[in-house]
Amino acid sequence: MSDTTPVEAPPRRTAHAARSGAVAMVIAGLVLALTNSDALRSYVGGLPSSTLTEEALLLAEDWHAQMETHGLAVPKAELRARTQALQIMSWEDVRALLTKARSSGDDGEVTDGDGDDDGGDRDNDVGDPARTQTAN
Amino acid sequence: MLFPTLDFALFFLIVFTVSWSLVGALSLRKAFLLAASYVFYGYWDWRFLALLAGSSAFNYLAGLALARARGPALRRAIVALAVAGNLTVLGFFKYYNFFLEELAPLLASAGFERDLPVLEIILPVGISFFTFQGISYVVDVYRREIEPVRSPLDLFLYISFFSQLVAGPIVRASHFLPQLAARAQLTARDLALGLTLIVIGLFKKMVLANHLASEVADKAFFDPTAYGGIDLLVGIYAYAAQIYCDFSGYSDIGIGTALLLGLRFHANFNQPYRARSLREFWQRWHISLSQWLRDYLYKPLGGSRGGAFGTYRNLMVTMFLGGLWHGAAWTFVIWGFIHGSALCIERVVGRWRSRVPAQAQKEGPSHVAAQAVAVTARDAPKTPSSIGLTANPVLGILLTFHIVCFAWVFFRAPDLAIALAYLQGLGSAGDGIELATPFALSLIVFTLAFQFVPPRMIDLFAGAFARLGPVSGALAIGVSLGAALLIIESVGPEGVAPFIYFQF
Repeated sequence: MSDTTPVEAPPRRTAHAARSGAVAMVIAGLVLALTNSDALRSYVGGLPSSTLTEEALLLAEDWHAQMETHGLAVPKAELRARTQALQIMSWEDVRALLTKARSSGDDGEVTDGDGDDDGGDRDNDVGDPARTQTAN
Repeated sequence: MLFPTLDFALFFLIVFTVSWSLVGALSLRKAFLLAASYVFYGYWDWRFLALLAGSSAFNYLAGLALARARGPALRRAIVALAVAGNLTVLGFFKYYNFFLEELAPLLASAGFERDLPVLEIILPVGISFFTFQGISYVVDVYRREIEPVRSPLDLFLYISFFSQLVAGPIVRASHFLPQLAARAQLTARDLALGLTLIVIGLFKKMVLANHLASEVADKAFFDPTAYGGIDLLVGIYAYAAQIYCDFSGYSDIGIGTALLLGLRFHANFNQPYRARSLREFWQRWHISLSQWLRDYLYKPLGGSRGGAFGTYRNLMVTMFLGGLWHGAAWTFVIWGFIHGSALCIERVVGRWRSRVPAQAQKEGPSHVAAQAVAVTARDAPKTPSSIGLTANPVLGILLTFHIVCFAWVFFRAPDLAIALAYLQGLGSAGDGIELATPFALSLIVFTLAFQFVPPRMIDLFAGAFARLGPVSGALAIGVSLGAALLIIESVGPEGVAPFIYFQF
């Protein structure tokens, strides 16, 4: 779908682009090591057993615990929870959400300027698996 | 080695870094890429490395023999032998047991009951793809469309390059080999575009395809009698979306990784579900296979040179064999028959309506399904509305999509009985709706809506990154790539399901 037609690139430009690419991939790896530490732990846990991998697993577990302590594992957990909430959402939940959105829209028109905002509740309805499950 | 794994990420980081450090030494770089490709393939099952090397050596020698042969009869014999050799290996791995299973009842009915030697044959991953590349090479040399390769390194790398080895796209020697002869190049735009394609491919596979499979399609096709008509209908749409995301996702990653190594492939998919006719569908779906079938099967059969009947016959044979290529099962034969028939009907209707431009009646690149022209974002197919079953474009898209979906039922069903039960179940009310959840429908709608996104958007997106400076660009791309991979990992279902086209 995309155009991969070659564009003339002198050797120096190619070298710059290759270096940028390697740096970008390493940065991406670091971002993932910080935010996706449980996957790293699972990966190391899946390696063939040896003294080296046992030590690596201890390190990976310690690393994951550190990331959890510093809140870096939260975005992934939050995204996963929200996706699971969407997965188990039923048509009744959708109807309830739409009704609520409509009624809050109506309230907004009537009470325009009074400072009330129940948009936060709306967001929580979608993202909270427990509430959605109850609705099922 | 599967693309969406940490193993591959580490492998690719090493390959990328080392291959660009060897950019000044052409042969060394090629040798390194070849070794990396063999590691990639051997990671799955090292025993089949000999098969890959044997196939490459066989086609290399066939090319040399063609170059030395003088008389046309000898050249014809060499190419016939080379094609037969390739097809024999492919046929053995793919069809041996199917052939015996079908032969046993035939022999029994004729009074010859025999214990036939059924073997436990593992289908080597990617065998169809590297065999097709080998055939295309020797046939192109025979037709004098390309020069035979002198360096075995080039031919071995062409057959086994890891980006397209396992599930395509089927790359032509005429497109690939000249790129090996020149010093590889990489621009900031290539870098941004390659990584964007990889992210899009991973999203299609890991999020869309895997969710659609696990939430809907796998359940619906496992036991269609357990669901009502609405669920089964949604199951078909889900599979249509799943196979598109799965296969085009693989192609995107393959094209993206190749581009990052300085090798450029043509697009393999171009928003196929927006096609207004079956013919246009095949210009947009698995383009490299369509072109392969056109050049090495449909045209040698006579193409459309034998009048209307000859054209229909060649079309049916091409689609029949195209179906059989996917697997040794009657469901694939029926899938090919549906597509072949629909293509023939389209042509009949087109002639009857007498609006088909004279140009399209003649032998031309956009003549039939298997004649897809090279499609890139710049030369997307422009099929006249009169070519399809209806002149109305919206109706044409809907009709084409539903014919394709109907054929997918046979393609996906594990056997004919389940396919028929599935179609029968479409008319039943069922006990309620289980599979057609808001989440599943959202994924289907999202995938189908993606078919209508302007194709240049990816280029524009990648271009925005490319315009940043080298330091800020690397930082922005790195952080965005990490964030995108985190989202894909978090939003997709857990585990790594193999790509659908690995089995072909």
